[in-house]
Amino acid sequence: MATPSTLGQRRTAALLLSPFLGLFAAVTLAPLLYAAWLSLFTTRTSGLGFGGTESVFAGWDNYVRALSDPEFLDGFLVVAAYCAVYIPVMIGAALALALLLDSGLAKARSFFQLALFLPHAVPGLIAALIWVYLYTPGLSPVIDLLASGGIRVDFLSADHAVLSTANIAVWEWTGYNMVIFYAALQAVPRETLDAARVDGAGAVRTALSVKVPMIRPAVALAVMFTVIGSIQLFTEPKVIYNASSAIGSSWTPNMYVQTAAFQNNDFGLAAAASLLIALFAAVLSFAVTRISRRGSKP
Amino acid sequence: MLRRTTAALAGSVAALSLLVTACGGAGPDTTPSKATTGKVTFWSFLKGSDHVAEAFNRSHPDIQVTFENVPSNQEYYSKLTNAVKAGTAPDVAVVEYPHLPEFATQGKIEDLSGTLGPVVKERFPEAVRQLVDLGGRTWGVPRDVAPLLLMYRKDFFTRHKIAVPTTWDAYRTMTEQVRKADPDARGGVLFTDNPGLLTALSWQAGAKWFDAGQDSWQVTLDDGPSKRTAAYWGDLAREDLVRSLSAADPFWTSIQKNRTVAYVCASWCAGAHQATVPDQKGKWAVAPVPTWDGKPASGMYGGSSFVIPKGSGNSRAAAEFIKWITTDPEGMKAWVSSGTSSMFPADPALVPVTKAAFGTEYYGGQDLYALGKASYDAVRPGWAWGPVMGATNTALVDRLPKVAGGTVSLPDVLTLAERTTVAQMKQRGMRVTAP
Repeated sequence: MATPSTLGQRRTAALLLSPFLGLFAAVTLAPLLYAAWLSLFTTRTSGLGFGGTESVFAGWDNYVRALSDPEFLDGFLVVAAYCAVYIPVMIGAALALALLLDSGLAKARSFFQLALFLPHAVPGLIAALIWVYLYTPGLSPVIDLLASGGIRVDFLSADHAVLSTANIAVWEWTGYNMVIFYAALQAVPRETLDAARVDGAGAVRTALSVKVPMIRPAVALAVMFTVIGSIQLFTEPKVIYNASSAIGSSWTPNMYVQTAAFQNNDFGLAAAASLLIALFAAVLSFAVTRISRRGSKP
Repeated sequence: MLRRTTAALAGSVAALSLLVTACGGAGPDTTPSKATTGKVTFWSFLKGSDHVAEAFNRSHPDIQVTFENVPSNQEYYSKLTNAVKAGTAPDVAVVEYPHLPEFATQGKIEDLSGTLGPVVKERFPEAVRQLVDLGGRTWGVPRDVAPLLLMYRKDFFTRHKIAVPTTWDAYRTMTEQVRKADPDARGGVLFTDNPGLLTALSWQAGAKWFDAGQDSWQVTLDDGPSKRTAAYWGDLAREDLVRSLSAADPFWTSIQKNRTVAYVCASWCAGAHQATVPDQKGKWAVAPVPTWDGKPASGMYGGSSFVIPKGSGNSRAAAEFIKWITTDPEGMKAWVSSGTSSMFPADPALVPVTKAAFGTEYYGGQDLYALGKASYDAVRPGWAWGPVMGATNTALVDRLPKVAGGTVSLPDVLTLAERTTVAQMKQRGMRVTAP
């Protein structure tokens, strides 16, 4: 039963929502649907192959191929190993720095805030290039320095690739998340902190038992974004791959997609794999949200 | 010289009018003049491409060629494929021989049998024709070939009394002597990010990775000669007798720092080498590539052809441009006029042109083109590149860096790459029969 006034409200709502919905449909839904459509086809030729190609309906074939390809699945293991290193280190460092800045101890607060945030202002690709320069034997002053101390290390080898990649990401994202945590800390009511102090809590105790629990939602959000971002890991390893092929062309799921599409011209497989990655990211972020919500309940 | 050029020009004009007549045969309304005018866009990453486009424009006022510089490597081939798909392809594009079958089987380039096929047949020897005539059709026109040669530090070899090897057994001894003479120096490289040299050396040993039969492919990346070659180089790398490194900066740095004093390369390397390391002038020399039995044998590491991508709006003018830059002495001169290209023309009649244009002071006046010619003549016949070389090369490159450490053996790398290649070919619907 729509009364004239609710009808008007709905109309206004529709009008206000339409720019968002229009853009959402054009730049998110349409490409998704197109990828879904592409994922159902494959390009076939016959005999020697010089007679031309045709696009044929493949059904679920591309999905089956992606899911049964060890190279694709191994990519997720690489991302898992990367997350296991990267997330604790980066979130831990960002949190520690934010708490330090928020404590009365910190001097020159805005300077450090800016200095720590600056790496994030460097575009990811440029950052990766700079780091690869520091990782390349014969070019890197770091490697020369280590070698003079008797330490020989190949940052670009497959053995160290997870650490080398995580290191770039830590450098890039610690400052960014620190700013988020610091902003959340600013919103912690001063009365609560005063109460803690009156109760005899020192700076460390206040930080760990009062401040951290109170900004838990911000931390959970940062972890979720980081997890989703990690599944899409591409730029840094791709740059490392170009410098040293040691890590392989399908090291992460996104690299697998790129190789399938642009190296093997297999757009059907690439589309299917992309959708599987998106689905995985959706499921994972749902799980992370659920877990952090359960954790934040009193 | 002048008369030669004029005669050749006259020849190409005559051939062109024949060509135009041949094209016009299909429709009575086609006027010859219409066929040779208009705009042509030209994609290339080869040195001297800008000179060639300029020179062509000067001598062909009716055709306007616009040159666009593109990156080399796999990125370029992705770009070209996507451009054809998007309908924004150029009229003329460079494609190296290994990638030609992939473009042909993907339906991304025009069949040139009717237009430039006769030119290819008339001007080029079998060793290079087999790389552009595929499945009974002509897909590209060869520009240069890349027969193997050995580059070595003359001063180092003389100082330490090391003999220039002519067989692979002697080459191994040489690498041992080099390391003994200077613990930091090595007498060769195994490139970790470019399988082209390994392929060329297998080719030289008598391997045939691909064979296009009547209606199905045979794929044998790990045939006898390939395995022998792979075992040899895998051992050298594992025993640290040759360097295992990237073909890009790390390789040139090792040359610069006197850490690499010999390496196998192709004819074009002489120019690239003197342009990259100008201060080692007079220290390097070139020798024939070693062989297994001491008799001349060679393969190719690189080499380029020109194609007309599907969707070209002006394929007739494009064909004329391609013909000029691959078979006309003036076109050939324009390629090498920049001074750093030591490319070996695929058309043997043009060798004197490039030879005259390339200065050899860097190599102490050595006759590089005589060495190149001998190597070109010794290229083993019967080689074919595969139709999924992108996937084949990736499968190789993904494992090459692990060879020196001993994680995987080089012959096994070939077997694994063959498996990937066959799977990819079958996926595309091609028929593959077991050898």
